[in-house]
Amino acid sequence: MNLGQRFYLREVFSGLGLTAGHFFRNMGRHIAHSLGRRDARGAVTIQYPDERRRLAPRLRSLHRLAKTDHRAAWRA
Amino acid sequence: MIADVGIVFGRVMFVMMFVLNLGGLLTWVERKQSAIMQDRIGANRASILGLRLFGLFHPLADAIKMLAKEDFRPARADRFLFSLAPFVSVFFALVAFASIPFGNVLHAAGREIPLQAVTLNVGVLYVFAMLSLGVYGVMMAGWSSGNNFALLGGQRAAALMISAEIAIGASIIGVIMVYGSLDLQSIARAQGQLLWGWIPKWGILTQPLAFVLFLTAGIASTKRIPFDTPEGESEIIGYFVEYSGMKFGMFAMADFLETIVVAGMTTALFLGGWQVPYLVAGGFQFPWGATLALPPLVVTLLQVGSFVTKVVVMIFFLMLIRWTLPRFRYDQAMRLGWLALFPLSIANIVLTGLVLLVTRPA
Repeated sequence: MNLGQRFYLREVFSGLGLTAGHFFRNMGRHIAHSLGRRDARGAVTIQYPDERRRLAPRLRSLHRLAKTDHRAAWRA
Repeated sequence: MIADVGIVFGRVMFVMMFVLNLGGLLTWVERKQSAIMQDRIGANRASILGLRLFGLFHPLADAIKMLAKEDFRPARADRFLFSLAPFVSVFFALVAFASIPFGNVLHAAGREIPLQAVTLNVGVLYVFAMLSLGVYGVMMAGWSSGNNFALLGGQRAAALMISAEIAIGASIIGVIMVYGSLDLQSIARAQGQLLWGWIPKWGILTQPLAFVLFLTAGIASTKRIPFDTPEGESEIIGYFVEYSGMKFGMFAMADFLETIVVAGMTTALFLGGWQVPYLVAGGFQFPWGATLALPPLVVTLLQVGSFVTKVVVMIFFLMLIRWTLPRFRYDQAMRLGWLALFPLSIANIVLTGLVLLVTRPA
């Protein structure tokens, strides 16, 4: 650690700058979104039951619980 | 007579409602602000008739949930003190705001109404006395729970409070020396003067070191991250492990109220209180000679608005710190309090004294 890092206060301010930057950037995007800019997104969240992620047409995954009886499959 | 009682009642109610409602709102602010800082959305599901209002109903839903929960009391707990502790915690956090002025004097119907819940000539001492008495509730909670982990948490809270309290007391002496008063209202008035004719003489400009020291110690006295060793809910277990329901909620509430008090004190001592730059009793008087006359009521409203805005900005800043910094270890917090904040506060007092000796005519 150099002197600036040992002193800690300067690092506190750089950390606060980072988080405050995120806050104001996201806040600006939220405001732009509510003013009609639909492409501006302030968060990465997809609110699942209301919003669905657009999936690739050839996606092969199944959103389903596999109910195979593994022990029976093993004996066969 | 009745009018006098009504005025006093109104002053107290204004401060009380301001602090209580802001305290309730802070639970929402904390969740939403942290979410936006972390690229999330935050609580937004509570709704009344489909109306969501950015999750503003979540504090309401939380309160209903906490009131409806089981009120658990451990078998070996001290019955009386266990119930008293959360009330003590909240009470002292609530009354601490009383002597912080939120405006100058309101002239109405031939009366002069000081915009302050209680006019005290030792307002600074009163606020810090109440703020430090709050730790009794915490210690009571830790001891009366009949749980060793809670006792240790209460002990950590007491140790942290002492080291923070010393630094708070020593760091504001510089401010008191510069403005020459212990009365928060006269400190706020003195900050309306101008330095060299154009810079507002706010505490943050005359006492920048004291501002940093006071803010650090003030955050420590609210027992929130980065100084949350007394609580440490998820890992090291704090003084309120055994509390549930609204009693737990009252401890959380006390932390928010203390945050408001620290923001209010920082505003009153360092950010000019209710002062608006260049606004005097008759309107604006700009240093370049322009003037703008305003009726007294508008001036008062501007002052109250300025005070509320400053408090809200300070709360935003305190929340920003709370959601940015990691927790200090117990020994690190102690070392910061005793070996950094306290000696620096003493150095600040000496430095302020020297500067005052040179600049102020004897």
